[in-house]
Amino acid sequence: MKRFLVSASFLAALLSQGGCARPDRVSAGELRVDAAVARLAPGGMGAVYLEITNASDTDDRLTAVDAAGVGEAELHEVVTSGDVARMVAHPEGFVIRKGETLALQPGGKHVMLFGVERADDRRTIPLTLRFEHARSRDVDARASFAASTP
Amino acid sequence: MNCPSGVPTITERRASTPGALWRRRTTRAVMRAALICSSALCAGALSLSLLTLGCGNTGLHGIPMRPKQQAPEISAEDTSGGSFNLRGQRGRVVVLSFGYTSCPDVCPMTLSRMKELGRRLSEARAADVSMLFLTVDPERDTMARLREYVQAFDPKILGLRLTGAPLSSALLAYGVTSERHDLPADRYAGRPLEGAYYSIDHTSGFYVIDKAGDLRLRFPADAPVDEMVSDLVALAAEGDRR
Repeated sequence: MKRFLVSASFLAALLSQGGCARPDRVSAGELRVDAAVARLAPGGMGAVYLEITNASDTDDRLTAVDAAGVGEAELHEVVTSGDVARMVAHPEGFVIRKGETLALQPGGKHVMLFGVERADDRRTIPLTLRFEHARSRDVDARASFAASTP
Repeated sequence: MNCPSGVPTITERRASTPGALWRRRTTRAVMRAALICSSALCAGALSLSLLTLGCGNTGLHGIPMRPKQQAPEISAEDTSGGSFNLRGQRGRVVVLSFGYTSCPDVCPMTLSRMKELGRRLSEARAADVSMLFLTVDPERDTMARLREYVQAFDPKILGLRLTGAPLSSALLAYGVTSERHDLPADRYAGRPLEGAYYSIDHTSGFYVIDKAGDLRLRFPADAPVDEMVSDLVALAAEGDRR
């Protein structure tokens, strides 16, 4: 019975990876991308949050994110000093030191999305992450909707 | 005396019948449970009172606006299709925030929290709270765009739109800064959004106005929702005992 359960859950886990869909958790090579979420707001705006862990022995840098075919993407960071929320552009990208994790999260670093077409119809946002050293990665960020998240 | 059940203890052996033995064991178990429950209750009550003590002398969590001042008047077009006057909100607690719809991170978070506030306040039956979002970007935020935006979050959130001098006065009166940053011109040359994109650095967070129309509290954008709910419930109850 136990063996059956183990194999059944293994099979379920395997099937839930979703066949031909691009994974939202990419691990090839030494940069790992996790938990990519695109929080979409009305009007074609959005912010992508994710984590990139650099398991290699060289520092790297996320230099750009491409949302071709879906909209425009820019690397930004919200810096709140006192009451004022400033959005600082980072055309130079974000450093990911060796052994460390770069976290893009609400209220901080994020990928700004805009001009997203047909946002309501989307389940995922396909992105290409580009790095200074590592080769680029394709990631499907899971779409969530800021206005309807409870 | 914490013997696992099974082997009767000396005192239990004194009970003459199985019924009496059961009663004795049950009584002990019930008393143990009662002791645990009352300790938990005491601990809970103690920490609750400690928490309230930590709120400063007002008993509220938000940053108090001192000295207390009447909230500057706002008269604006609103997303319900009418004309809004802050003066008309007397008798209701008001939560006000500033932002714009082309804001990717802070404003969706702010409105999402306002929506959560509204839901929690309804549950607490303190629903006489108005929620307002005033745009700092009337150029792109037409009334239609603003309406679509706020209502997507919660139909109870009212969007307000001012332009030109009235907007500047309102921002100045509330100490709200708003600064536009254009994207580098060459970056989007020839692309569909050319010239249409810029970001606005602005004062974030929430302003809370009480039922008498006084500006009472400020909350940062990431203030715990629990604390905001608690303060709004308190303000909504003010004046009820008179």
